[in-house]
Amino acid sequence: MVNISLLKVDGHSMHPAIKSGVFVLVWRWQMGQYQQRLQVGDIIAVEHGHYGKIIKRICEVDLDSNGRVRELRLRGDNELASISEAKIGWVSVDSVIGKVAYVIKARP
Amino acid sequence: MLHSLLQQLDQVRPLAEVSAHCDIPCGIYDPTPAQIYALSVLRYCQQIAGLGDSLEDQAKLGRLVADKEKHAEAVKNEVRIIWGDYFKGDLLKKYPDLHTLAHDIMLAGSAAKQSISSDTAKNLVNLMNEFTKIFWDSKGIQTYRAACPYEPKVDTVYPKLG
Repeated sequence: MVNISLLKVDGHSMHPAIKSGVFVLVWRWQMGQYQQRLQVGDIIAVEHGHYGKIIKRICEVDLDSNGRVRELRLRGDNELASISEAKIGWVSVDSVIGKVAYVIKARP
Repeated sequence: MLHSLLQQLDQVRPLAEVSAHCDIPCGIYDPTPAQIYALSVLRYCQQIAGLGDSLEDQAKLGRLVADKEKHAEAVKNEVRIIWGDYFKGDLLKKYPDLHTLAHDIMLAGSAAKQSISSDTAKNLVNLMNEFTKIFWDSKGIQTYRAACPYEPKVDTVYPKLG
């Protein structure tokens, strides 16, 4: 399974890496037991049960006994303007829309 | 160029939006917390000025300075959110000086963090009053000025509600 989505970012919690108004290309793949590598530092879009579609950076990864990613902890780069990591809580890997592959910025 | 193409596409056929908000986008904006933070910065400066040389007062100085800096930063953060998330489009055209004012508040907030001068803190309070007046005006709500009913009892802008 490969999913590619183009999303528009609204808000300042990922400033300066991702500014409000930019577009991001995110992608996700999984083939049987093989899954896309998700690691601390990656920026991902997820479908959160309470906050809806949000974009944040992975700060902690929970693995199962086979070393596969089970859950993730997320936080905004701009902590003063972000929902806190605690409020977001653990996010299931199934809710990941995709990892940011490309950021399309406006011309300076 | 790719960005402007996507913007046009987004207008014709809106792309899914992913939120990087400070919290759920509830649409609730209010400058009152920032005003209270600014007033408390001024009050901390006044309290610091009244401290003596005792060990007790030296310990209090540490606490007051730390809290003053935290509240000055909170003013900046609250204003950043209102300026960045609430004021947009036609509102920015209506209040062309808003960018300068928001930037002045950022500078005044930083100055208030670094200083223990009441005058520096008063400047922050005054700028917050200007910002508050514009904010309520943008909502079609009139404002009035009165001394806040607690120390530091300085001129503060309030909305005329009800």
